[in-house]
Amino acid sequence: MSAKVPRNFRLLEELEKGEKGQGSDACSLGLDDGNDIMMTNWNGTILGPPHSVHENRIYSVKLHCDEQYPDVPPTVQFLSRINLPCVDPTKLQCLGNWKREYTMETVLLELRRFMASGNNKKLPQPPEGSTF
Amino acid sequence: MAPSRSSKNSLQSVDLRALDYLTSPSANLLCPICHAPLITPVQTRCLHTFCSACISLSLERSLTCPVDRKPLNHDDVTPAPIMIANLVNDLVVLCPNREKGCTTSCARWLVESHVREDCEFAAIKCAKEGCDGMVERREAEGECVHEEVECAFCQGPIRKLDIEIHYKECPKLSSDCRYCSKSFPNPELGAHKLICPDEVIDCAASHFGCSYSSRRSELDEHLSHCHFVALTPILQLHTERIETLELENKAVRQKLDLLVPPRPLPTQGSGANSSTANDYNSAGRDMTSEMQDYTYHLYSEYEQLRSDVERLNAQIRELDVKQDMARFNEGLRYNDEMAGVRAAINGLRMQLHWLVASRRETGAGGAGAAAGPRSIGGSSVGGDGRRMSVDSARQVVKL
Amino acid sequence: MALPKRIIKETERLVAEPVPGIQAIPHDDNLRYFDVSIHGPAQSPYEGGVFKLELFLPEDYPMTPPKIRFLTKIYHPNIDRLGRICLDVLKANWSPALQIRTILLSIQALLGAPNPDDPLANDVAQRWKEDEPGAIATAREWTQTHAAP
Repeated sequence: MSAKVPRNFRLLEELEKGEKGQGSDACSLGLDDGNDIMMTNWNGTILGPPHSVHENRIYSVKLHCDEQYPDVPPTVQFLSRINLPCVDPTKLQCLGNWKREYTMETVLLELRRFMASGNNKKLPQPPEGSTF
Repeated sequence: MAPSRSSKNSLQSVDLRALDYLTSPSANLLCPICHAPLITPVQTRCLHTFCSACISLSLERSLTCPVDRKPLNHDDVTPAPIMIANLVNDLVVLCPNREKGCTTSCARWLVESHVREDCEFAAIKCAKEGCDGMVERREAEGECVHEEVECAFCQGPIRKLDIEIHYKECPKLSSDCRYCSKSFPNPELGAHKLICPDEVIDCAASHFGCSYSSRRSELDEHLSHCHFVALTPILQLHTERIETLELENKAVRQKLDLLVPPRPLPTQGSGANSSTANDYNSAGRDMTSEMQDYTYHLYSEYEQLRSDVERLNAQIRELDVKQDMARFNEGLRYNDEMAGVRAAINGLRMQLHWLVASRRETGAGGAGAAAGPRSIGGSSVGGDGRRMSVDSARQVVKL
Repeated sequence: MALPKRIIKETERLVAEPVPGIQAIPHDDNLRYFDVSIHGPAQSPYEGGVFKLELFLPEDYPMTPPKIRFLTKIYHPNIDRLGRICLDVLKANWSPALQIRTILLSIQALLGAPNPDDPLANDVAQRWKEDEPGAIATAREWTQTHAAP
């Protein structure tokens, strides 16, 4: 691949994908501050995967894309309270094996898949709507 | 024999678009899309020329001509005149293996066969049976360089081709630092060079004029009291400012070039003119006066031209009037004459009427007799009679 | 694949014969990514300002237009809060015969002639139509606060 899309244009692409409604139905993504020309902070929501304790729940997360994104993954933080192995009260630790082609949507969908996998779909959850 | 021939041929393909040209070709021969000399030129219905591949790609996205945006279809694209193709194919290019050392230059249409069959630096398949490696043609005669050999120091298997590079990195091999003459394993030598205490280096502010240089270990002491270093932040700031000012100055200069000769007229613009010039150039007093002189000169010329035009206008108007009058008079004269002629014709017709009528009355019984002696009269009279008969026929029609 | 010859040529020419009031410098580590600065045109509310932009040539340039946006905040009916530009030649009217140079000139021209009938920033366009002198004053103010050279 010879053309390496710079951070800002990559983030604009991701924003436009969301604005045009071309993204996945299972999650959504938007800028935290529409005036932030550097597009650093984002808000995301994940629709709980079906056939799990998360079904019909909506989880909010905060994503932070620093200067090095997308060479390094965004930092992700759950706003909604959730019981998930990689989520200690605030930070998230399951973003290994990051690739430059991954997007914030990849992260959200990966989290959703993780919620639905193995034991995670049966973990007892805090009351709906509570936040960290 | 076919196989040996093919093994001598290079599989290296030539990207015509990436070629370098001996002389920069005429801008007329460049494709408006790839900006390189045309490759397989084609022509559109609107008479623009492109590389065949470029226009096809463009038409896949938009069915318009890239130059004038007129609607365009794949069918509207035909090969360009042979002459254009010949012009671009004859351009002299440098061999694509120039960086490896080939000095050949040839016409563009020959370069592919040069690389495939002649170029000493083109990559061809290694001659050894079963070896998949590639080798430059000039080295093809020697032994296969893709065989693995054992490194004499680390015992690792290394391809013959890579052994020189490997020696520089082999962990078992060490070399001495040029400055402190201590020995380091090769992979660590690079890192050591950056911190070697004995290397003689320049003061950190050398580019601001400090000429001090010493061993790295002793430099710290100098740095702590070097005036240049202390001034570095401010000097840095100044350099940056000078750079931006230079850029700005350049832009302003270009703007000024565009503005001379200036547009505003001295009557209402001399004040504004000098003030803008002052903005551009604080030391621009003489510049301003020069520009003003220029403006005055232009203005007087402009005034002169305007009076000239006015004079010419008046003359044209005068001439117009004169000509109108003359035409009118002439017309009147012709009208009178026409009226006279018409009156005369009318008189003649009346006379004719009268003559014909009276003749009918007199010769009602003997029209033949009247005609008889006339015809005997002679040829000149015959002419007369013919005219008569014509006239009488006209009479009949009229009646 | 190496950088296409056309991009190399365009870059060389941009550096060798810069357009007055426009500067475009490629990043060392990404030759398709340019830092651009444009001087606000004279007799416009942006006069005296230096506006920073970023420009990126996508993989299939010149078949697709360059991507470009303002990094300096600017009050203009055709430029939104994130610096995205509404300009026909950057979208449907792109032609591969256009160049970085021509596009930057078009953007400079857009600063000199805002077009509130084809807006990207709706609130700005609205104000531009209803209260043009006020909008121009704001644009001038923003130029002084955000685009001072």
